[in-house]
Amino acid sequence: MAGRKDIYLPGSGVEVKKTLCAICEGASTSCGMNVYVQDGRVLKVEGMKEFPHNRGTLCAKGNATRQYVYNAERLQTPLRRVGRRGEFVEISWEEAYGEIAERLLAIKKKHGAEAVVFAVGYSKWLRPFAQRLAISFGSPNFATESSTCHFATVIAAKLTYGAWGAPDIANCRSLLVWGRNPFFSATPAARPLIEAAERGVNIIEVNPLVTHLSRYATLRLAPHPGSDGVLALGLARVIVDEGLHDREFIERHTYGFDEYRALISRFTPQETERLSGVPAADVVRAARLLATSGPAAIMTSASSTVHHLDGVQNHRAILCLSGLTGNFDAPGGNHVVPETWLHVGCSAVTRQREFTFPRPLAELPPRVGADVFPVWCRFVGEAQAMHLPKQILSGKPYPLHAMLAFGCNHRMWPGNDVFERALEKLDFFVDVDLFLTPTARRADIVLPACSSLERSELRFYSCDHVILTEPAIAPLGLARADSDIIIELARRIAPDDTLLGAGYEACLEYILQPSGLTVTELKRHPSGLSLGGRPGITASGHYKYRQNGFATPTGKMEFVSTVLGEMGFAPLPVAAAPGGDQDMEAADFPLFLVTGVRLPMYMHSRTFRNPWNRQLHPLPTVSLNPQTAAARGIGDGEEVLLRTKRGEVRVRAQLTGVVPGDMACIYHGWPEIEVNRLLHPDRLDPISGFPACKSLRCAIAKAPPLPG
Amino acid sequence: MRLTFFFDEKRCSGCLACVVACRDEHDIAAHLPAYRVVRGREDGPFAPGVSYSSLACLNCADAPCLEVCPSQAIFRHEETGIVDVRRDLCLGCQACAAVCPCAAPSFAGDGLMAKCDSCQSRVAAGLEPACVQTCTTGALRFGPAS
Ligand code: SF4
Ligand code: SF4
Repeated sequence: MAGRKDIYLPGSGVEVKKTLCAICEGASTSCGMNVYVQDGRVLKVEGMKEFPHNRGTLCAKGNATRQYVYNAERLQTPLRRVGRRGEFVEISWEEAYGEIAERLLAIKKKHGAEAVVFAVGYSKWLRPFAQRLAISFGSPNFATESSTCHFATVIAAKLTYGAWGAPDIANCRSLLVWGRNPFFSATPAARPLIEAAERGVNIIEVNPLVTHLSRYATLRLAPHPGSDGVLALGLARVIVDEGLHDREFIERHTYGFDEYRALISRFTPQETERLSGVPAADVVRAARLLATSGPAAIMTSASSTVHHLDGVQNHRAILCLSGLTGNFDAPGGNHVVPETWLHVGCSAVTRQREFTFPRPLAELPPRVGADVFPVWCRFVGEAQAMHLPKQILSGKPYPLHAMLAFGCNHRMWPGNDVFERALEKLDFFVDVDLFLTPTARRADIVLPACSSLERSELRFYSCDHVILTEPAIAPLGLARADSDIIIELARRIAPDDTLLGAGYEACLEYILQPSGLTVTELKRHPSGLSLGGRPGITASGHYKYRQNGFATPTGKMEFVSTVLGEMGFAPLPVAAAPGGDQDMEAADFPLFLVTGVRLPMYMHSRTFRNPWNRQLHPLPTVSLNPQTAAARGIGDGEEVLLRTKRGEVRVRAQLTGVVPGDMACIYHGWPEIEVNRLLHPDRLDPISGFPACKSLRCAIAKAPPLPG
Repeated sequence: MRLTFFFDEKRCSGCLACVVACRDEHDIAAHLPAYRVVRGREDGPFAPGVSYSSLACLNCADAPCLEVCPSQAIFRHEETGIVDVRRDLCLGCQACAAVCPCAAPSFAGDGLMAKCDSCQSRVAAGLEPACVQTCTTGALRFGPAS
């Protein structure tokens, strides 16, 4: 112990290296991290204090980084399947690359390049590299976990405004936080939110669950799961009825207001209360607050409003409130900043698009999902991954024979048993991962990937900060950076792509070129550097639509979506009552089931192997209101059977008043139970293809004792 | 001077980052208690939300543990007022645990007392204790008492 304490002493021989946490990796996370390294080994981690994004903090997962990086289960060598799935022998990288190239080229020759799917789950930073590889190889089929996360909200934004607008928390006076709890899911946002509340910003929280934000909220609305759209239409009706909408904006810059007005007229406060469960008086109060205490920004979640059959329409109804009140692209409203890199918009411009798409997708065969999710395909330059299992199994519209996946987790798919069958049908499946996950076990070849500490990563942040990390430690065993794996495969399966072939840093130089940044300069600033005040960098202005119009077919904000209309969907943001279709046999399945609600120590399936994380919540639980439990004779910590139309799991009840009485909440990634098998694989939003993970019906009963 | 922790109950979200940071800093295995403990209760001031407390040794002004320790294993660092333990002197008698208002002393490992030392070595180097630096909401602070 004494030795550990010496790490802070000068001359201890311990070096503090700068890196990024990539455990939950995303636009609002990817925290800057210091690692204390001695003799090539990390002794301790901490948040990087000078990093403006996370200001020295890390969450419960990031703080367990040592147990993630040095986990005994880390893969350290390439593996090839022998005999049955799940049985492997170690092979060399040369053998692995050789076999992968040979198999993929043979499949391309026989079935066409589109028969090979390139998929990326976690990590996400390698996406542009992997997609470029797919396209250079000739396959349009690049798919990511964003087929269930975030992109449906982007589709809703693009349908409505032609662009995504980020909430301007620093300058708003009211903030509508819809279905999001960053205190558990994206902790860098925690302090800015509390600071906003302490500055006097009116926080209007919309969430069926009581969260940490609730105590800071001026008003809290708790709609039934999936009734978000109905509630948003109800808020809009009050705003228009009371003449609080921005008439000038609506007249000059919007399309379809009259039809929208006719639609919202149905949603009186009383009707809204009936459908959403939010008291009529609160609907009126929230609408007034939003419309009269501007500027108002809207902060939404990547999944909670769009994990419903009507997800995109739900979300569109919410986003319409911004334009209705004149807050879109306004200071303190939702600010449009073009994407710089990896879903983050800041003042720098890169060649992400040119790099990612060496050829236009239109030159390639149709993507997986193009026949069923045309709206997705129009707005997202990826295949719709939710459709993969179906196409693999049916061979329609064309057969898929192989998949090269990076960090793929098939347990994220609804009805994941179907994907399991599909994976077995593939002729050739390669998975690159840090661990031999349930998905990797089904692969023909498994390649060991580096953690973020063992490789380099380029990240931009919306606070106009950029960092290019260098490896803080050597790779574990024979693990390699995903980018190196992609580049080596490119040399073999897409040799005409000379840019990928030229290596990682050559790619970065190409990507960075318009920003004026170079790899050399970035390497000189290991903690990253601020973009503010750099020559050639200008922040995105406001009200850009006044000059350029909106990037929609009409050039206006579209209450009535011309694209949805053309493609045969409701052009208005019509959101059905909660639950949509469905398994609404209320008597048999009386509760709403919301899957995927975040716990602070877990990130999908990534941190269950860390004892420090696991210890904080060791057993799978379903959260229930104490009254719901009492009515079923269920005590805290007792085992219950959670049943949907499609299946059941045995878990422990966790009784908590933060969950309303008509609802059950369960985390999705538990290794021991198959939560996603409770979901029907076909309950997908027809516009986005997103699964309806959050408006399912379920039943809960005390579990009978296990036999024996 | 006596340095101590300050805790803002309203800010604490129960994110547990401080607990894991404590384990990483002091290399505490998962089966042993961390020096910082976070507890939630539903009948607190923020009901119907959960009210959390995040607690570790406060370096009490009149530290009772220090008084009762029969072998002077518990001592105070002059400059910082941090209450610490010389484990080589500890007898494992647990007298300190009986009097501590924060339940700071733990004997779960080798039977000798282990406790939060306010990340004494970090503080000496001009850094914040690990839990304070990592606290995602700013609920934890560390500084001179009063
Ligand atoms: S929020 Fe946590 S897991 Fe995510 S990047 Fe930050 S420290 Fe890592
Ligand atoms: S890190 Fe801060 S907010 Fe999180 S549990 Fe600890 S004291 Fe509370």
